[in-house]
Amino acid sequence: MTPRRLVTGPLAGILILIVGLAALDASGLAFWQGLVINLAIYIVLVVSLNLASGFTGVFSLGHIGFMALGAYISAILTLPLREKGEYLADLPTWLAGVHLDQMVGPIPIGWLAATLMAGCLVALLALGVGAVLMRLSGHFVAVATLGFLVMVRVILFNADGFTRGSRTFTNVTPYTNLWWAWACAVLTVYVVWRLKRSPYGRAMFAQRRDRWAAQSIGISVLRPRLLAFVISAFFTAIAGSLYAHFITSFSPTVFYFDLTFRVITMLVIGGLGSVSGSVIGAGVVLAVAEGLRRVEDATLLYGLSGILLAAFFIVVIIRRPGGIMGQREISFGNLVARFRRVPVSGPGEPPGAA
Amino acid sequence: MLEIDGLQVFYGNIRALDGISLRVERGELVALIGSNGAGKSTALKTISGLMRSRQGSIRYEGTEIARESTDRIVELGISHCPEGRRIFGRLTVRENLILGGIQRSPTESREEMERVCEIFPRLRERMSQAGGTLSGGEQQMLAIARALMGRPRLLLLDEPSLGLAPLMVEHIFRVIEDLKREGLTMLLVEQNVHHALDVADRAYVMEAGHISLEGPAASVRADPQVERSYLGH
Amino acid sequence: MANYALQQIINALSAGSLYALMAVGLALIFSILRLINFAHGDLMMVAAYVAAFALFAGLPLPAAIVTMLVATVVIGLLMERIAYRPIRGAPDVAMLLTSFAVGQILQNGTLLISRLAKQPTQIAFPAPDLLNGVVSLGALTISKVNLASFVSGIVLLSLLTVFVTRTRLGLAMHAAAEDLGAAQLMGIRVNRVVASAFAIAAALATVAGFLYASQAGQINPYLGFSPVLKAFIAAVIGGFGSISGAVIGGYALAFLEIIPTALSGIADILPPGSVSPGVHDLLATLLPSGLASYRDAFVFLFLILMLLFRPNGILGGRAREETP
Repeated sequence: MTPRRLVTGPLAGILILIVGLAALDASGLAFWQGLVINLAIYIVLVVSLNLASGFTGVFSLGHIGFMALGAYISAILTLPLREKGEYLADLPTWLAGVHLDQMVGPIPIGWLAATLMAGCLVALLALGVGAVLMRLSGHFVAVATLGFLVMVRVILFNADGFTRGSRTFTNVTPYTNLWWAWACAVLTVYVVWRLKRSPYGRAMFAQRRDRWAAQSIGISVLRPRLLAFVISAFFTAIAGSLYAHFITSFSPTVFYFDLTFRVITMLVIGGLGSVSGSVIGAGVVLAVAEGLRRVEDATLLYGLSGILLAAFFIVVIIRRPGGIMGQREISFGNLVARFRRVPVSGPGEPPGAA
Repeated sequence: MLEIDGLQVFYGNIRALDGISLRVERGELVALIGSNGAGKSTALKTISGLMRSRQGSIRYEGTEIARESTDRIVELGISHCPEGRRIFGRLTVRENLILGGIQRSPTESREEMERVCEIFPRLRERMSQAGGTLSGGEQQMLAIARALMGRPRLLLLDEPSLGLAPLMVEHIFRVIEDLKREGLTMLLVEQNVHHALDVADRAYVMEAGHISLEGPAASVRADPQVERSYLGH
Repeated sequence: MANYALQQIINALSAGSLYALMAVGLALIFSILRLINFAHGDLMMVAAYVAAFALFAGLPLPAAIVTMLVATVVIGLLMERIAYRPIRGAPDVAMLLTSFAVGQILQNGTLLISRLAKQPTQIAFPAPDLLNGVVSLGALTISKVNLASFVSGIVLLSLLTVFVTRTRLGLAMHAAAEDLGAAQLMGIRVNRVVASAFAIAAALATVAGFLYASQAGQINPYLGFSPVLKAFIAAVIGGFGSISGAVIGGYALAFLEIIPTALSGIADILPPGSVSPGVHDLLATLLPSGLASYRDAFVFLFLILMLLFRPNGILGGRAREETP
């Protein structure tokens, strides 16, 4: 593919996105705006989890723990002084004075700084956690990471001086809007996409397919896994901050198993190992979930959406475990060619190549 | 008794068996020889139902069994003594034998156990020992004994001499000869071509998924290609 | 002090019995299929709900128990047939995730039925009078539920051991657990063996669920999550895949759990003067009264340490091939 074609595709996509967001922003349709923001946050979550699990084949079930930490850390940092005094009266003095709620014009610098800080802190934690857990494999690492999720929850419930424990953490300033949410989503997609095509990415996929073979040719198993884990934790924490400042009130119960399962469903349906698959998966599942939620509200059959989504998941795992995209990515060149009904030319890079 | 026709077997996208055809008459001992990876074990696994063929037919005493489940195939009288023995190391010798005859009634099982202990007296001494504590040769005996527990009419033997000391190999082949004399029909996969052709009535030579030579054991042995490749002359 | 310790031990024995019952069910299925059935906890939950609804409907206790048993076993068998059989042999994680999905179906299904029956999310469990109250043994009081748990555990586990070691089906399960392919070659009907394993596991989960619900007093569709995690940890402690290991693990876990509870606030209950003030202050800081709530975190930390250093359980034993 010529360099120009490589760039024009995604650029066109971003242009369309910007136009779409502007239209939505101006429309004032709060419900749809909320839904589209939700989609962006899910995209960040799913793409990050794909990096951590789909690329390396090492499943992390505890990632929402990182999201929770990102949410709480950033929210604690951005909470204005007055609210801090009212709601978090027991904060240690060095934290009680911090309030990253500064704005420069329309840009919420304080929040951005807080988000970045939360991301870095969580990434650091992930480095430690990952160094320990990434040595395990298969279902053991899955359950160990689930343990991490439980531990985070327990800590959040108990450290109520910081987190208000089981009470709702409220009055978070709603900094998240369409633009910031989607900027993060695009950034995450870009970074993970580049990573996939880099030598690191290849190492990740190599040791996914055959750990022993990879080791025997000198590919370190721990390093790509750890790298994937840490980077994905960073972005997941950012998603947490986005979420916290979107929904403005939350408690530790939000960041637990239901959310975990939903993200996993999106990941599997989209295709483990495919970045574009994650975006598609997030969209599809969110759409289905929303649709089913309407049905639930109308028929009062609460629980139906959960059942159907889980059933959908099982069907996909049985019939098409690769998900919609498998490990492939959407190739813009091929998409365009298909529109123009032009035979796909160029040095034989089929849509299957990473 | 056994008729295989045009069998095609794949591992994923890799073709392991490329349309092989062979037959085993009642009372015969047919040897299947060839180098590693030729597909011999795959052939046996497909007969016993561990693997499914994509195409082709397997007829046993007139019945088509290519799509049957393993337990049905065992019921019909085919017993497979697998490559690597695969005895249950954590279970005792007695338990291994019981499992071999699990389709039979407990009374029949007990009779069979007596019978196989006649053939393999060493096992009688080790009845309560865990399978994993037996020596290689003893494990092979256990594996064959276990396969005999169901009173099979066709015995599939996959590399019984693999990894055994020469003395033990002799012993195993003597047992195989005894079984043949009693009239048991056998299909024997072996890398030890010398011994295999000694006991066999007929032989097939396999190479890369297809049959390259077939005929009475004597003529296969005399074949110059076979002499060169497998007998080291 | 001695009474306190004894009381804790008794609690641990009864909790251990429940954990053991659940861990055994989990281990049974794992040993044959390499599947960690996370929906196992939800089987417990379903059992509790069926019992509750049966009792609400006015069924006498024995009928309710039979209904509960039948329903749970049927669901266990369906789960195997519909969700797990088609993916037999798939990578471990795929099976694990599927078990989560199955759990979601059970949880939401129960929620749905509960709503349709005009019940709130959390309902009071109508524990039979038989299990209410306490029994006195000298200076100790044991709740009847705890006693029942302990007794049921011992009885059922003994029965199971006899079954597994003495019957042909039990032998077939052992064989299937060790080498599924070789078991097939024996003419063993693997599908039947697997189904039996699920039926047994479901039956054990039923008993565990009933007792757990009686103890907790309240049930909700999500109650299965914590027990199944505990069951998993218990199974790992015992060396995942063996029944005796699961039993040992269950009791070990229960005793392990006492540690933070017993130690928390130990500074408060130590008789004055028994330790020097310096040590007393140290204990108060390191093991504050609030430590008990960190129990779950503590247990998980232990699990992670086990997985790292002793993946074959406390007893160690033959190496298990790690799934790449």
